[in-house]
Amino acid sequence: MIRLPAATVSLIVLMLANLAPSQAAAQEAFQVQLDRDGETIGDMRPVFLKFESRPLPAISPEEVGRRYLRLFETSKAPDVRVDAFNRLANIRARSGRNVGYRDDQEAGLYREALDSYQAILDQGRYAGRLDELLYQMAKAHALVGEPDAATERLEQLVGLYPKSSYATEARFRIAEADFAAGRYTQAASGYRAVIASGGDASGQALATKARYMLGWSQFKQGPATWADAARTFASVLDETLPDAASLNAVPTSSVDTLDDTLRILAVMAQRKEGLASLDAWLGETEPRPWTGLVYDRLADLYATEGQPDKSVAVNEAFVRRYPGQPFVADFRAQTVAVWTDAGQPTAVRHAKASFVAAYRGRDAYQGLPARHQSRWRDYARTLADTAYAKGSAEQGANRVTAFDRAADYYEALANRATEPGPVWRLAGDARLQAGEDDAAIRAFRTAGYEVPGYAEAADAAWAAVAVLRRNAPDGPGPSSAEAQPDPAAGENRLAALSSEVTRFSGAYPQDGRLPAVQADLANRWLALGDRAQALAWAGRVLDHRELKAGQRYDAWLVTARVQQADGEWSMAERAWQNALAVLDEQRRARGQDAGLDHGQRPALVAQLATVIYQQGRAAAGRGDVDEAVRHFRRIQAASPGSETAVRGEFDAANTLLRARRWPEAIDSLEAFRRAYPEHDLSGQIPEKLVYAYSESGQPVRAADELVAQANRASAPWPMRLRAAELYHNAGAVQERDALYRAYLDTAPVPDSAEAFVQTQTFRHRLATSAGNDEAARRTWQASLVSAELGSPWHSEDTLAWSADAALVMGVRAAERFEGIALKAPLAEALDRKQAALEAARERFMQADQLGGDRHHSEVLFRRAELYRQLAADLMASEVPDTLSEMEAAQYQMLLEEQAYPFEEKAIDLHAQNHQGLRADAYDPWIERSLAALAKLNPGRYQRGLRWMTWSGEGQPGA
Amino acid sequence: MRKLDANHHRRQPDVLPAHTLGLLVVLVLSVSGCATGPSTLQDSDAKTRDPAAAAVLVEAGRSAWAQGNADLAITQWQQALALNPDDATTANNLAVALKDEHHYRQAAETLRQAIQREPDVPNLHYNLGVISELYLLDLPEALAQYRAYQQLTGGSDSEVDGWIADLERRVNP
Repeated sequence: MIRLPAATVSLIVLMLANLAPSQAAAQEAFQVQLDRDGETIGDMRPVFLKFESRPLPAISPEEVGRRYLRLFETSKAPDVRVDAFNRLANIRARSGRNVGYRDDQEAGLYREALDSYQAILDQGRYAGRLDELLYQMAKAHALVGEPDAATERLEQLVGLYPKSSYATEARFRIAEADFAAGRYTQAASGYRAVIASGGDASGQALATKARYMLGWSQFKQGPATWADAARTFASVLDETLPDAASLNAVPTSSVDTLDDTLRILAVMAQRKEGLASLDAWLGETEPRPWTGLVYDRLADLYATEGQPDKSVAVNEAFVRRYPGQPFVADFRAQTVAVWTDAGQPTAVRHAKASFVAAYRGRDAYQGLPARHQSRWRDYARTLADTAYAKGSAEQGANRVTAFDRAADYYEALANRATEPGPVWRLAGDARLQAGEDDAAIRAFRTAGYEVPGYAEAADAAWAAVAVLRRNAPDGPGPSSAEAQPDPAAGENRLAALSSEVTRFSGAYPQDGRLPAVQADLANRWLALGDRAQALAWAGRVLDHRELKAGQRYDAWLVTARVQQADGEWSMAERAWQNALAVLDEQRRARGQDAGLDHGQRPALVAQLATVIYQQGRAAAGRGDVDEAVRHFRRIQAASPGSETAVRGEFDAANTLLRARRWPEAIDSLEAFRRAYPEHDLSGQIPEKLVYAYSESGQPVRAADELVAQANRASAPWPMRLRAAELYHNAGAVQERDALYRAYLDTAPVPDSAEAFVQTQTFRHRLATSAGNDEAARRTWQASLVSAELGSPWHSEDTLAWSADAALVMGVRAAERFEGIALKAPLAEALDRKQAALEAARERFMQADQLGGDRHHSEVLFRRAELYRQLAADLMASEVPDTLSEMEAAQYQMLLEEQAYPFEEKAIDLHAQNHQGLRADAYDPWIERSLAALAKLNPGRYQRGLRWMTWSGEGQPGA
Repeated sequence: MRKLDANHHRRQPDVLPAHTLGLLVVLVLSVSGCATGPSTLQDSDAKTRDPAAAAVLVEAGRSAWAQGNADLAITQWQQALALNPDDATTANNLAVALKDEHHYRQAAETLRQAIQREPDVPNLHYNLGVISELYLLDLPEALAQYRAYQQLTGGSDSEVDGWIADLERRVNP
């Protein structure tokens, strides 16, 4: 016997499983089991014959059987014995139990009954029905092994009683005898007669069996009649399985017949032209309810005979032709089984893929029976695992393709799997390997958050975080031409990672991986320039109770940097100190430093110093001087000796300086200079000290500071001159004048109006401060006038100073002129006097030139007076004693002639001065000229106003 | 205005002390009900005239002048002139005082106004001539005033004749 394929077995089991219990328990009256298939058609046999049951008596079968057996054994009358035996046989047949006698007693009892039957026949009389008697005799002959005798009795029965109720069965048994004897044509005729007989239910049952046996009879006649046989078998199937419902309600008694019918149809098709023959016999249009069973059996047959290709072709033909028919999934599965048995793994994989694809859709899958759903899941998992393994072994595009396929299968399977969590995670892994990060993340999220009870959900959720973390930017990105950074894209990726971590922390708040990724996010946001995000993530890190040192350190670093960048100096200081504290704790712990970079400590200290410094600046900006100074000075404790600390001390002094807290500022500045004499900032100290001294009413100290600074400078004079000005303002004339003199000794050549005015100022002040040093005064006055006359630049002050100096010098010269007496030798004296006059006149002219209106009337008066004095001195000059009276008179006249032009010159100059008189503008020098004119030219200028006397009073002006 | 030297005495203090005169002036002014400036007073009608009060002020001015207080003297004489504009003597002496204090133009104007009221007072013309010649450099005016003076005095002053002759040469060279 060939081994049936699993699918076939499953079909049969399916049908049997649908049998009702009552049907399964029913017994046939009797059954003749014939042989199964042989090697040739001649060897092949129908599977069985069966007779329908009859109604049971109302009383207990055992009791009735016991009574009939006793009657059969005790009665001497043949007809009574036969009647009793018949009844007993009927009871046994109906009850299905060994009622009345044991099986091993049956043959003996039938032989005894045959004697009674023969006696009745010999007597030629029988009270009962003779057709029944013949039927029972045939049966008895059959039971005792006398088939020919049995057939003979049956033929008698049919011949004598063709309408007997036993005639149809008799004909059937005759046909059976022909079939058994190889007389297939006769058997076929007999079967047709049975089929044509019709009749009651019993007759219909026999017709069914006859139809089946007719098919066999036609089959046994050879391939020429196989088409007839096929149609006959089809009619058997049509009758037994008229509709789809009947497939699920096949009586147990029909199972073997159906199976055999299907088998022989398959055999015929396989031995003819396979699927084409089947098509020819059954047609391809509307399938019958049992069509699938035939295809199935043919496919099985091919498979068992080592023709998997044909087997699969049959399966696929059914699937293709009748996609909406039941069993389509079975055919697909059967294809997988065929290829599996054939050892064709590639074909197996394709068949499974086809199966999975066919029922991937929700409705298609849900329409599958549970066993196929299970099969679908099994196939999907196998295909997924296979693709995953292939992807792991491949490179390049093949690797991507394989992982992509694996992911597809895992995703399709995940929601149908009993434990979807691991499948979703595998899908995520496969997507990741295929480079499909977004899909991977979705799969990981599903496994991580949407599968209740999944033990490794946290790891799956973390995988999504890991993917996003891998893709998130560390910073703004490269700036090369090939990879232009896309800040918006980077920010979006980082935002996505942040969102993922937030979700993860919500679902798994105690997960030990959280602090590290949150710290990482803080760093990344900071690198991207989003300080608010960076600060928020750092804060989340610090919210954890259990933190590694490195995580705490990172969080404080980010916090410090953000708050420093935001100008939150005090908070930044706290953060830097906390970061330093972590470092120091770990250093003390030794060996448990969590990979911290202790080399960063100096940089952290520097930042700490910076934020303290900034607090100082902020306080100074608010005007909180004490607070600012406190911050500036405490930098030294935080970062001893650092540049920031030095600058802090400097700025503390500056702050005090700006606050005009002079004593403290001066102390701080001097202390700084003592502490850091070589520091660049010390170069600014003198200037600040000068300012402080100046503003605090200590100009001399300011000047001293400048002089000291100047002595160390390569260009000392600017500072010395500033010092001189400070000395001047402070009234320190001696110190000032020393600097002025030293400067003027350098013979400076002014290169600007300002510089010229400055040097003239120095000269003027030197002349003014000469005191009793008349020579010095004259020197500086002469220098002042000379410089002014030689300069292209002038100011009102320099002109006034120089005009005053010239006038003073002129007056001195005039005094010298006046002091020269015209004595003998007159010519020599006159020369000296004229020279003195010229010197005075020149100074007066300089004063007039430099002073303008300032000294004009005085200059005119003094110039006039020079000439008037000369004329007067000439007139009063000593007459030589050697002259006679006449000569003396002539000499006097000559003197008058000499003096007259000078007097005229004097009158002219005084008159010019008088003409300068302006109404209501009193000028004493004009008044003095007018007075001089009244003497020199009284006829024109000697006038006196007249007072009048009030009545009764004296003249007031008298 | 330039102050006179505190030690400048024009005459002996033969009048009431200054503080006494000050009180007197205040009394006079309150009685006369006139305390406005000189120009207004000079233009005032007969109702403002008060020769008696003017006389008091004249005397006070004389006292101040004698004590070297030229400013006070001028002020009081100006007030006196306002109360008695026809007082040619006060006008003349006020003009002389103003000239001494170098207020040449004001002195000349005082004389002109006085001449308008009292054109026949020779000294008014004489003084206006001198001021015009020496201090205002207005030679034609000086010539006219000298001539008027000579006319009023009957040409008796030969010195002034010489001045007239000199001026005539200078004005019409």
